[in-house]
Amino acid sequence: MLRPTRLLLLLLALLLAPAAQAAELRVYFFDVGQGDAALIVSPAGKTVLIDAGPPEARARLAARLGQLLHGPLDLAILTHPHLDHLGGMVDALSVEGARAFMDSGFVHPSPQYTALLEYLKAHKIRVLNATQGRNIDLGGGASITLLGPPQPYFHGTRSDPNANSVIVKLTYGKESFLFSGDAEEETEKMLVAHGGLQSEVLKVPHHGSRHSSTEPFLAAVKPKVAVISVGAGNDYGHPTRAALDRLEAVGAKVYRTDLDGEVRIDSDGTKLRVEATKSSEPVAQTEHTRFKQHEPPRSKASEPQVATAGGFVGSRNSHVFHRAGCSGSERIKPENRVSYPDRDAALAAGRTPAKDCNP
Amino acid sequence: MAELFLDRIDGEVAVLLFEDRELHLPRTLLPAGAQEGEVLQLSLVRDPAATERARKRTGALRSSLGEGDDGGDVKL
Repeated sequence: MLRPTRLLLLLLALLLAPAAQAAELRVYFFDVGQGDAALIVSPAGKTVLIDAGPPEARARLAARLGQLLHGPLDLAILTHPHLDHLGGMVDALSVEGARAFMDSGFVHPSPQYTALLEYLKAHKIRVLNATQGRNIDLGGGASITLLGPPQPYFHGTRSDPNANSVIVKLTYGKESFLFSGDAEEETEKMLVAHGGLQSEVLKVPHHGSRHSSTEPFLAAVKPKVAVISVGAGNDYGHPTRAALDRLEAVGAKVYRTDLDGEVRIDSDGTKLRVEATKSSEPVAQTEHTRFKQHEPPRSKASEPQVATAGGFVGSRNSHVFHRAGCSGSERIKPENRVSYPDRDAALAAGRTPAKDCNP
Repeated sequence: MAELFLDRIDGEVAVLLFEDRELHLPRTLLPAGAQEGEVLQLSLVRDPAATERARKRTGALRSSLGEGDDGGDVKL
């Protein structure tokens, strides 16, 4: 028979064992409509935000960060200064504060980027320069290596801000995640030449644009899981069939924030666990009930649905949504019509309410 | 010069039709007196001087913020 003290020790060991195993890396790909925002939580609890979505989703992103953060962000990275990546950054930095900020330093003098810099200055947030090869220790065995932007910067490309995106490779044990910003062909070529790309998870560059996810790049990354951060019914045709076909050809399992909602990937350093939820579910639910197993890909789910009675609708050519049946909705051509089951789904797709009929 | 059709004005938003797309512009950008159903001409003009001013101002601000960073490895 065990003596009481031994029994107590045994119980303590049993209680502590799950906690030790729970030291996992966790990465959230947020559903911010047409844009990018992801959060890394290292096994040591360090937090790194990579991009902050478009302005339409800033309140939603800030609310989600409010649920997940227990203190200041340890680092916020802006891959490049386009508004679909920086639109929610000031709000995100304001949730719990931030210890450091990093970007490519490529000057894109929009009023919003300039305002972000003014905010960093006013709040005395440490600003780091993204330089190729730089290493960032996230604690608990997880680390980041920067593979871009190139030095010197690309100039004269189709989109210089995209081409000079900060490229982040996150590694924990045997598992790696590649955050590729809005990299396009020139950047992908540079990365392939540089080497060391192989990653289990790829945040697909530029929302699945046809200018990105080239065959040589995907052959070098060899992703098992590909996450596309994209808004439903966006104006750009993202993700493109060409990019989806190339991802399929390398055997990557594709998750899309427009279809799957928020995507969360956990890793213990040897394997991955992917969970996704539909974006139409309320943000305020607890994590336990929010997440459910990913359903098999719905082959026709990406096609716009024909609007039915009730619900909300928008046009492929605008960013607003209307009540179905409202005068604004009646003006949308059937071929451009995108429908949503409820208001949250339309908001989650990055749309804003139209002025008519108070949707 | 591009020809746009002023389809409607919803609150503060002017909805203009260009090819098969709707363009949303703040109503304040409309010429005085413009009404729904009118054809409008749009032209956009490059402004190198304003671009250079913005680039210099934002570039100087970004450089000053990153001055304390030695570019070395970081432990969070």
